[in-house]
Amino acid sequence: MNKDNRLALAFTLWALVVTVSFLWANGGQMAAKLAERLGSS
Amino acid sequence: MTAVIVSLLILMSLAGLGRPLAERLGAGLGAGERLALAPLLGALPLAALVQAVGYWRYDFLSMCVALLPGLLLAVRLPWRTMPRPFWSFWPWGGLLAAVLGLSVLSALAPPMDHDTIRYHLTLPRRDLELGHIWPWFGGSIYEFFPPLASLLTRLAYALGDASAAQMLNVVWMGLAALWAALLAGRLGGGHQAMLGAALLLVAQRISLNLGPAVTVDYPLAAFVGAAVTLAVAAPLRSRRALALGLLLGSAMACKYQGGVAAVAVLLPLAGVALARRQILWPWFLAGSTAALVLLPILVRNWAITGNPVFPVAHPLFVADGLDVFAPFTQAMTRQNIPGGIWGLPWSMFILQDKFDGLQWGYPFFMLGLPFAIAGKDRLGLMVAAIVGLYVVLWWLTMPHLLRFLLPVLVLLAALAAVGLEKVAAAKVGWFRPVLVATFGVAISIQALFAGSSALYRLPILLGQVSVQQALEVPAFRYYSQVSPCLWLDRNLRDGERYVALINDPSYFCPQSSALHSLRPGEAALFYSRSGAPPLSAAETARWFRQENVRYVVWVSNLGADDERFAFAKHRFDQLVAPLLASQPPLLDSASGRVYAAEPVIAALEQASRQPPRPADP
Repeated sequence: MNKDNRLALAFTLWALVVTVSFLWANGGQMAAKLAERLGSS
Repeated sequence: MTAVIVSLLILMSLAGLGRPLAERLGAGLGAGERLALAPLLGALPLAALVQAVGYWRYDFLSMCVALLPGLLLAVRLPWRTMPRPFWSFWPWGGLLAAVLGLSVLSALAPPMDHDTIRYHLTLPRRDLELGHIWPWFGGSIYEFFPPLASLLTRLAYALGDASAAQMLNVVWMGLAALWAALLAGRLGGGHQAMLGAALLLVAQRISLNLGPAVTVDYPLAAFVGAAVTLAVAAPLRSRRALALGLLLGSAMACKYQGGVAAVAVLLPLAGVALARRQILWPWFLAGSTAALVLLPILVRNWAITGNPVFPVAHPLFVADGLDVFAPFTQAMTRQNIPGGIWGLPWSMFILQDKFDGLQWGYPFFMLGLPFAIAGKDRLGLMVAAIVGLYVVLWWLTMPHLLRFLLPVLVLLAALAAVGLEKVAAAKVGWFRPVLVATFGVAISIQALFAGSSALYRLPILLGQVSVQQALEVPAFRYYSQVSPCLWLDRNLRDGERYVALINDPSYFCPQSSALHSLRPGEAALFYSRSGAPPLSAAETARWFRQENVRYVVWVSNLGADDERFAFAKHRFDQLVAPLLASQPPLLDSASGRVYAAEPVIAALEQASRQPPRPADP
């Protein structure tokens, strides 16, 4: 596996971990607030 | 429009004053970097001018006088060599223009941010009403914090209005973004990384919320970002060391956290110089220059309060001195950050809600940082070490609020953008759609935050709701107190005063006509463990009559207050609040009420004539 492939694979996994963790931790709260804002505007 | 013109005039004046310094001290920097350095080096002389003129007289005309020297010098700026507009670089330049444009529009809306309403604009309004600029011991703790940025806020406020002060903060955020781009360039980033760094800075959720408000954090971020860029540009020599000292000193003169940032910048870089057996005296020169910039502020505070860093560490300097921040620190101990300091690289980006809320939004910084420091890029590692040391010092010495990480915002944005650019350069067939999808998801999430922030401000700007309707909602009502304040603004006449039973002052209220709750000589007692002496009903009634008190303002959540000593307040609460229960209010709103003072004074006088109740057996 060359350097570019390793970089691409590492980023793909990292992006998955970061995005899923962020949404797991905050998605519920974000959705609730969004619903509240859309309801009140 | 006034706000845009005023903020641009101030930017020109800053650049005009700072350019001679930037040209002389910016050896080793590119032409663009020297030009970007000019407004930062102009901040100190312009703030000193505002203080000098404002001490004598603070109004529109006197602030025009303070602005003028810089504007005259701005004629010599290299106007014909301006670079190609950044928005013509697709996609990041276009997105950057869109986000900055949103901030500019949002800054035109009335103030909505908590601290902007509490003190960033309240104190300039008070000073403008009083007609001079000088800290008032016993007024608030905030006017004793380093004043560089707040003096420039006063300049914008007097020349324009609240929107002009907010627009100046957008200018500061723009300067911080510019330095993020320049630092990304120094770290080896290309045009897209530079634009990406600027975009990452302005598109963080905290920037979307606080950019169009009034803060001291964006000037601080710009100073620290420029200082790091200067420090890593080339081996430090005396002239650039002087510029570095002025930048770090200016950072400290914005906020005490600038001192922590200065340590985080100077220690690792001086350590590397030592390891390489390079001369160390430029680092000493930079440090001593920075300390000299802060010195007049420390002397001023010491002369007025007895504590050079008032209100910080008050018990250390004054016998019987009060720990002013104790109630706030106590409230912060309820925080439970998973993993403690070791979990920080994860928790500060993923579990943002465990701190002071989702300040970053989508964790772009976390996405790009590892790729910026992977490999043999020594500059990237050095900048990351500065960030790391600042974060450790932040954890050890400050309340754990993510917004206190803003001093390293420029560094985080530059590193992350360079890391993401490295990743984007990978030439692998299947990777392009993955990259586009990742950025697509991340940008969509961040767009929700941008939309949410805009939904608060833009409807007022577009005339769909009034200021009162927008601020009389649970998120804003208790600190804006907008209805009682606007009522007072309309009804209070010259020479009349009001008593405020509130947790914090609001920018929307008249300031100089609020009855100050400390008598001459009581300020030092207020900040002591013994406190200001209690008042009798007779004393209070006499005081109210002497001062022509006509109204009493009562805020609905009186007493829900983590910062009891931030302003002189709550002195009349126990005596006056119970008397209001039987009075019909002149104004009743969700945020608070206004009462006529006469029946309250009469009730106080009546209470003072009754013999004291015998003590319980």
